[in-house]
Amino acid sequence: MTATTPAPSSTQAAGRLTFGGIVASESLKARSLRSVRWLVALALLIPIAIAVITVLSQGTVPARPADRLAAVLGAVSDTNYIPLLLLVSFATVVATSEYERGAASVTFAVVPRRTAIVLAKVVVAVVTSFVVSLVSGTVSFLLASGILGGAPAVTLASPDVARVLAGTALAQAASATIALSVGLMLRSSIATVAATLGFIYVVPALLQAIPVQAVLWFAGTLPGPESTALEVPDISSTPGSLAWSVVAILAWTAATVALASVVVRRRDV
Amino acid sequence: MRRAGVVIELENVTKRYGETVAVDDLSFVVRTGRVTGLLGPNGAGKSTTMRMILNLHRPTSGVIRVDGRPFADDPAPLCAVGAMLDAHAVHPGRTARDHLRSIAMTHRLSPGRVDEVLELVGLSAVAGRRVGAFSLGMGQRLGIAAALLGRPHTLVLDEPVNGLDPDGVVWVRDLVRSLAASGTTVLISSHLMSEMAQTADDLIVMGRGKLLAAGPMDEVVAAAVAGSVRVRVDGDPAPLSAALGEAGGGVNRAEDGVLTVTGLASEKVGALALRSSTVLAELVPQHASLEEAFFALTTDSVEYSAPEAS
Repeated sequence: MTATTPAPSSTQAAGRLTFGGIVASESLKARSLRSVRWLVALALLIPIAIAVITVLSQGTVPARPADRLAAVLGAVSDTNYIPLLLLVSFATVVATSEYERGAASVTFAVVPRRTAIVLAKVVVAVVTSFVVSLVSGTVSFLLASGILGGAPAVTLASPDVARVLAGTALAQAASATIALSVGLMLRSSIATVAATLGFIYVVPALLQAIPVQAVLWFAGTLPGPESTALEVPDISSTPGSLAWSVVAILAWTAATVALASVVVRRRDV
Repeated sequence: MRRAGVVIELENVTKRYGETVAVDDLSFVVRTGRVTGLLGPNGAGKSTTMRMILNLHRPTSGVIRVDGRPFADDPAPLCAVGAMLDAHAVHPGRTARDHLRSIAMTHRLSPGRVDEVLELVGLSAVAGRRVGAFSLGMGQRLGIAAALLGRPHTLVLDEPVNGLDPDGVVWVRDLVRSLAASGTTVLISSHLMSEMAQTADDLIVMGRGKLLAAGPMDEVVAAAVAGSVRVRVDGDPAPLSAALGEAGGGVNRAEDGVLTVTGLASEKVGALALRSSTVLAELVPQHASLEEAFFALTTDSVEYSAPEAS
């Protein structure tokens, strides 16, 4: 480790800041943390294990196709809160690891336009949690229906199946993104998980206890209640209200991302 | 807007954190291709100034330009200014190589460049280790590697030798010198005057957020403390002492015929000695050191000082 003269190099490092490059960088930053790898792996595998165990422990195979479909979908989606917790934790780590030991000062000195960093993290969180949820749900479904058997077999083409799997993936990606935004604002992992779960589960319950029509309506637009419409097999609502759920969830998610961008941009590091 | 020969430019920059004024109406320039030392006691506002240059903290008022524009407007910030502000600002769970690769990727730099800077700072062997297990010196080297990644034309280094062993100090000094020799502009902060004296061409001296002095090192030092001439007289020093006083010099008489003369050049002192027929045993011009200049400039602006020992 003696004095070294910076030698002219073989590779030419003529670079420019690009959004694609920032996304690739954020993706590497996420992957290179052991906690992130564990959380994503668990979010992928635990739901599959639960679905298989649930179906295996089912005593008799229901005779009616509709009951068999309900049994499989129930095995796949009844414990959605477990991958949700894991994906919320994953997105929290993606956000708060930036503030571990002041690492953000390096990141923002390299990318001074900070909104690009926030959006790149959003891309990483959304893509990861959507894909993990969709793959995990689809594999769970296929394994569960295979184990349950019966004729005609329950397939991905059965009614509601695609909607439940895609809707669950959307709702979980939205929750993860909200956790990411909260994490960028609060900078503390514990506070972020608490605030995000509070926003998804506690706030709607509190608001629904207030018997005022406008408040009840507002509480109904929150991502927690709205995601129910996406995740459950039988919804009494019309296709119109399904679209409304998607819009409400996307709007709330976009709003938290916008808020986080403003906070991150205005803050001294 | 870009001024020739100037890389970094601050105009009347003030930064307040609530009631505290961290930087107070600060203006200076960092000239192209020079090593500029940012010197000041702890709490002088050096780090805040560097953070504002890199857009990490926003000034309460004033304008900062890098290459004639706000740093955030640079299309390739990593290739313009390489910075090491806090060597420990790395997530401890990441390996050194992943840390550097994540920085390189933002600007689409090749993975080969990462290996080059790892080699350059002597961390190739430990590139796959988690940064959390790094020693202070290794962390410092990693910070410098990150600063060099984009082959920036300017380096901003905040206390780069802080906590380094003597080997590391020499390494940083040599590295800065060789970069400067190849045309890189360097802004380097330190509270160690000896370090500055060995590396800097220009000096910016800060105290309590204010600019105390700026300019080429020798000018700053000369302006802060006048040099003196030490004379030892063989015989009676009184005639020379009187002659020096008449010529407008300050004379400080010690025992054994030793005079410390200020305000007169050594040639003039010699001439006066001849005229007053005094035999000189010694005639030594004393150059003011950076250390003396630093104390002269900052005595009033040390934030925390111990009470005078009695």
